[in-house]
Amino acid sequence: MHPEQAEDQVALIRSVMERTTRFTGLPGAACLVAGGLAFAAAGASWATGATFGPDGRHALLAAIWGITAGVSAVQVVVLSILAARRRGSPAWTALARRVVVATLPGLYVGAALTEFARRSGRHDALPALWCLAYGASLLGLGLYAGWKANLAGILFLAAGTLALFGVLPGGNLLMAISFGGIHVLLGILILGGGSHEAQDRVD
Amino acid sequence: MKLKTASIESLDRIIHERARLAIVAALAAEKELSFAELRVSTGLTDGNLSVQLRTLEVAGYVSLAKSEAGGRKSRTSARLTTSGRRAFTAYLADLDRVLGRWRK
Repeated sequence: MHPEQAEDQVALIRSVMERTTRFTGLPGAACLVAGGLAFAAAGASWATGATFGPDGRHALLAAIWGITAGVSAVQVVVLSILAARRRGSPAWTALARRVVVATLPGLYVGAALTEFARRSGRHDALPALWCLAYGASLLGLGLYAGWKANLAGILFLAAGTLALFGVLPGGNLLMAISFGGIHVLLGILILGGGSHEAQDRVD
Repeated sequence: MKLKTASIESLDRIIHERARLAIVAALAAEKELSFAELRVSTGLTDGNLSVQLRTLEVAGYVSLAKSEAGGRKSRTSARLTTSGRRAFTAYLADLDRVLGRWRK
């Protein structure tokens, strides 16, 4: 075997192994919808006086953002399944299971901190805490999905940190900037990169 | 240039073919893959993937299993056998030898 051929074989092995272990099942459209839902929820909260302040109609606020999170999660699952069907591949793969597991610790921390903030009356800290927890969760996704999810995760962490220490405004504005804006940015990045990287055909 | 080439006879001809190498590499990265996942990972057509999987199965490098997918058509999944994994490791060592000799 010639060295050039050996290099070609090594390149093929590397590219196939990377493709096999890279998660590409998150559709850009799902991120755009998630961002749009967050913008709508922030607008609805603002319009109805449901804020994260001390007198902010917290039950209504919880309903608005709880429903938004639920609908957002469901549409991500549905659009991911539809995208997988279009590709002719299963959606619930071993890789998808690992991705879900990798995102769970961040979401769990977010849930625990939410309950803590609620009990101690620190609703004002919730948007920043959610950004931090969700950012950590996205970095878990980024282990398998690559730099776009990592960038979104880092932006959430930065937004959460800056808001927690008062550099950025909190409340519904932070929710719109982060859960709205960063999701839209992630959606654009995913759609801009195509549904998949160009595949080297071997046949 | 003879010094820079490895004897083609010493190579595992089953794995050396690029379509089969892609399949084996994918299965080395993931313990088990469905037919559809393999198609996405390797970029092979359905027909070629079937043929190459069959060749690898006959060689004892891959085991195939069929399972019912909720009443719909059956789902085929593949995994490397122990001898398939050993052959892949040996093939990587061959590549390493060729490239090592070249770089010296």
